[in-house]
Amino acid sequence: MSANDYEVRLLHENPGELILLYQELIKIIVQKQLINPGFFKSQNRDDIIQTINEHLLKKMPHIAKYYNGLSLLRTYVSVIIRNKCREYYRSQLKQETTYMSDQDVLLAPGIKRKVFIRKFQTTVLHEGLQYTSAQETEKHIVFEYEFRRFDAILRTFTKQKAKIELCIRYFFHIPCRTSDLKAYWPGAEKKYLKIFSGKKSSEAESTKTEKYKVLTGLINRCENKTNTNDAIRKWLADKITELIDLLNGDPQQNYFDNETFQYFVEAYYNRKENIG
Amino acid sequence: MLNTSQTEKLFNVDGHLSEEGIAIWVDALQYQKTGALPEKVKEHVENCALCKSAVVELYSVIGQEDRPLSEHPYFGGTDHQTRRAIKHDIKLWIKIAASLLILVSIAVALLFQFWHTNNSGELFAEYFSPYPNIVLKRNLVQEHQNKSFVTAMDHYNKGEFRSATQYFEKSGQVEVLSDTALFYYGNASLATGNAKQAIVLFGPLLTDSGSRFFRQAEWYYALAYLSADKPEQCLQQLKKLIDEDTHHKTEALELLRKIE
Repeated sequence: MSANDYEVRLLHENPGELILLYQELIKIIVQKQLINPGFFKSQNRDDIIQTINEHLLKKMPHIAKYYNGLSLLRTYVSVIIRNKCREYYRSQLKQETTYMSDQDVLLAPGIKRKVFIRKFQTTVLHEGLQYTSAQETEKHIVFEYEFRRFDAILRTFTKQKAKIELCIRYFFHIPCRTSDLKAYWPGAEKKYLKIFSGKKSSEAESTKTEKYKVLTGLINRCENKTNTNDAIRKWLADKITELIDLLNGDPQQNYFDNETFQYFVEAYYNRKENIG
Repeated sequence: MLNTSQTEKLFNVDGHLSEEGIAIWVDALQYQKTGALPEKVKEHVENCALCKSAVVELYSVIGQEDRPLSEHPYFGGTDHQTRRAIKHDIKLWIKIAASLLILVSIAVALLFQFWHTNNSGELFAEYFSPYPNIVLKRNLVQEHQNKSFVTAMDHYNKGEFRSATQYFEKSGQVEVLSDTALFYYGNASLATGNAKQAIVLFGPLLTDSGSRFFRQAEWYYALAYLSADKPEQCLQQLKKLIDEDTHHKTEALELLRKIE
């Protein structure tokens, strides 16, 4: 009997024990979804876990009814836990606050005003202030986590992964290998094999316009289309935005923008090259 | 492969992935089987930012759970698991082969040992007979105030060698064992199969050629080595007996030839 079969049996025969079995899983999800990003204090963790336990206990008959056995039960329950975490986060997102505003000229001084403010706000650093530097090891751990996440993001593009990776590498001056090109276009022409042969983009191609020109030519030849440079520029910009959004997460945990994304991608492919 | 109705279960009424749809996608990332997902499910995530985000978020969280992947209801084992299973199989066969080799080696060694021991044992049994008690009881009582020694000799006379060794041991606790005691104690030990103890007991007798049991002890010393399955030392002792032309020379020569 596999671990999943055992868990399915518990689901039908002893749901309470199943919840006990998933305590570590619940803890991990709560920690990573709500505590680590700083949405809640670690002192709140046990209370949140308890809320989720109660929710799961109520939801067990629903799970038993709707789980079709196509995925692992553990992952299925993880989706439910994640949804509950998001719901919990949203419920705490806005809170009613009453405060006195001296600066609000429309209100007479001393009059209370009811407003809704975002509970979870990021601290905007003033110009000239620097983020504190964490230890190198800590940075490394954070990078590893994000690299893994980026890897998963790319894998969700089952059809366009090779194309996106090739375009990103080329666009961000990251040396492309012929294998990258062949992953996208197995019968690539010699002309393109030469361009994507592991060298950094030459100076002549280093302007964005030149880059889009090369990429448009490549995509049109491979896919037998007649895209314009502008269409490819727009497509690539959309994909980069999509990747940045996914990296930043929902609720937002990272603060990548176009510039930091480029550094991140360079680090990602450097690491990949080093690992081999 | 999933049929249409099963694939439909992976979608909500609003066209997005259901809880199970997201779960199977996360599993696919974990099991490195995204290619095996139903085409419709793959395509949806490729184009739906919402579902993609849900999949990535959950994978980022539970993908780091430190636990082995169990057999999947849809994907089966991971490639890694399959490779590991093959590796495991090879390892298993190597282990079995190694075990067999070790077993055969042990068996051969044991057979050799058994044959050798048997041979030594047979020879020992053929040539060993406990030295008869030549000490008169009257003299014993007069010479030895130690009652344990007298009792030990009584048992020795009766052929009760195990009891005899026990009393010899008791006697040794009361007084320093005499040459007589050492010699008979050694004989009794040999008779009970304790050759190592016999070697130790005969040892002091061989350092003094004037000892009453010096020559006899030399012979039994050789037999003790034979019993202890130390043929080299036994041969050495036998050659000494032959060279010194003792009255055990004939037996020693005969035994020497048999061992060689």
